[in-house]
Amino acid sequence: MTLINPYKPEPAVIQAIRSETPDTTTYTMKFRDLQEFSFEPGQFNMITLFGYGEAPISISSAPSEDGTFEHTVRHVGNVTNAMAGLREGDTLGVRGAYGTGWPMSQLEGQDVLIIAGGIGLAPLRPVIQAVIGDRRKGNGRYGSMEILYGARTPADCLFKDDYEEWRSAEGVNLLLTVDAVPQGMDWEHNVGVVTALFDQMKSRPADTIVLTCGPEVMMKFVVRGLLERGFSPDRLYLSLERRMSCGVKKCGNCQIGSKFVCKDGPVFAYAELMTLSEEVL
Amino acid sequence: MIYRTLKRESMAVLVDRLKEGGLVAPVREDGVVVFRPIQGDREVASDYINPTNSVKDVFLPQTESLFRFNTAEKGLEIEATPPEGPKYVLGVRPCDAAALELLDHVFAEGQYTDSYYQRRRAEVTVIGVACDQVGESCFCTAFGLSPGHRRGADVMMYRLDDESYLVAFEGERGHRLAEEYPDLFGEAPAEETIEAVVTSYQSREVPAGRVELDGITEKLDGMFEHPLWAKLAARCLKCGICTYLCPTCHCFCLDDEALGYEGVRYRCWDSCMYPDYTLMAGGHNPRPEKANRTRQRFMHKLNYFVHNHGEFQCVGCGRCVDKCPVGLHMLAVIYDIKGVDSDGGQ
Repeated sequence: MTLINPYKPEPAVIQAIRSETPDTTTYTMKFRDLQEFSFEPGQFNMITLFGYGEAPISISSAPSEDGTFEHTVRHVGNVTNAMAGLREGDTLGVRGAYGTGWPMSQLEGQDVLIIAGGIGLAPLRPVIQAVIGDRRKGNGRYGSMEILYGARTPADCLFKDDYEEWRSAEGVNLLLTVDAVPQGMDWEHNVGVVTALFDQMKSRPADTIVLTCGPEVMMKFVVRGLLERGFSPDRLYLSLERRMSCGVKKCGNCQIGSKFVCKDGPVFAYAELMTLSEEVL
Repeated sequence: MIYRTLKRESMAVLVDRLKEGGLVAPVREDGVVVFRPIQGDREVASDYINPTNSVKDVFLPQTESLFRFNTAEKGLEIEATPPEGPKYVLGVRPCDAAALELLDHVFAEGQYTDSYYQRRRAEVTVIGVACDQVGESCFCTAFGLSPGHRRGADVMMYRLDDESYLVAFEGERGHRLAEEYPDLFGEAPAEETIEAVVTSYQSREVPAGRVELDGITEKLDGMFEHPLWAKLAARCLKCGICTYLCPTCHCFCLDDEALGYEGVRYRCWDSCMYPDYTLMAGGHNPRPEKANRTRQRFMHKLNYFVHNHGEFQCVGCGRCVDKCPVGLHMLAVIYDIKGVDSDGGQ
């Protein structure tokens, strides 16, 4: 009997480390031994820091040809705080990719509206990279893309090095907002919650698929605002976060009603969440 | 399916032989009967309704090592640790045996399966003993089982008379046991005798099991926000004993234990009764209230599991009925759910 051990991670070596904000870091990784690894935008890996444990972390880069992948980690828990001490060349454990990602095939021929808050931009970055990459190759698989991103302060914005590239890509509109601007800091964009950007956006309900990720309270107001503007629940997708131990639908931590966020999600159509007896947002 | 007989005095010989391959069976320990590994001349208990712990302990141990790691500078090494356990488990009641098939839905089906659990399921022969006594807390018949059911068991023993058992061997593992010890087992009795004995066990009256479950899943579909949950939770102590003793509860957590470069990743039972079970690193807890967690346990067993797997996640073993310190157990809650208006009026 050939059985696959679902809990044993594979060694992965840190290729590069980039500080994003005072509490968030992006790690570029590559498997040390594993040759075959594929994933979809929106999926996550279980990351092990040996001796500290394991945590589910979204993949924050699009699939690449050189086999590298990125994880953008906010240092808030046992494992992620310990990760702050990692250096290039260090080895950790990775198993995945797990979960149901963003509905990439459904985005084809549609406009894409991305709405993210804080660390919630991490699982959406692979979509942004995939859409821009597709356009650069001249495939024209997707329509226009609008990105609405909110963070606490200008210093808390993730992927600042990417914005110039995103803005300069054809058919991409990037709108930024922050909750507050500390005195003396330059900020030429909006101040306020992310839903305040709705008046500036061009996306139209009939042509657009919406992808959102952020704190649940943010997504609650995003969904409410979009429904009021005529977006239909089956065109809204959101990525949820739950505690997870196994990532493979066994441990029970991430259950929401009859769904398991690790496998049925983390990305759900809002229409699907509406069928649950539990009100998630 | 093959039938044989086993003399009462041959039972001790069978235990001795199974012991060599590794046997877990009920023993009397500190005044209670519990499943334990049988070594030396430890006596297997026979006079019990159901062991305090369930047969789950054999297939999903309370704690087990999954792999060892070494992070020394020559490079990370990870080595899986193979599942440990017996080859036989004896004295399993029909409810516990059936519970294994519910655990199978979780661990042995779907895109990802659990190699530790599967290895044990493939290698451990489950030898059941049909129930001569029905406990006050037993309610297996509510879930379509009975004191003589064979679901999930490789072997089931029924008392034939004061001198011998009727033994039913099912499937590959069951047949192997019959073939391995031909000297211990006698010829099958007449078909009418087999039929009469099995039927008498399977039709045995289980008073608490008369509770009717028809429509309860559908009723619960509309009871997520019902005030009943807060009312029930008010007396819950969140001790978790219901989930630990339950033969179908399977929740666990993974953690590391390390000293220097070396360590181990282990799995350990967890419980939806505990607030930390859903607490996330950022501080968000989707089930912060006791009522949220009480609801999760009963909704999972009577509603969510039914939607996902087509059957209830309970076998009516009665352990939560016996051990809950505040009487907040499956049987009581089923009656509570049946007794309230689903729209919240009570």
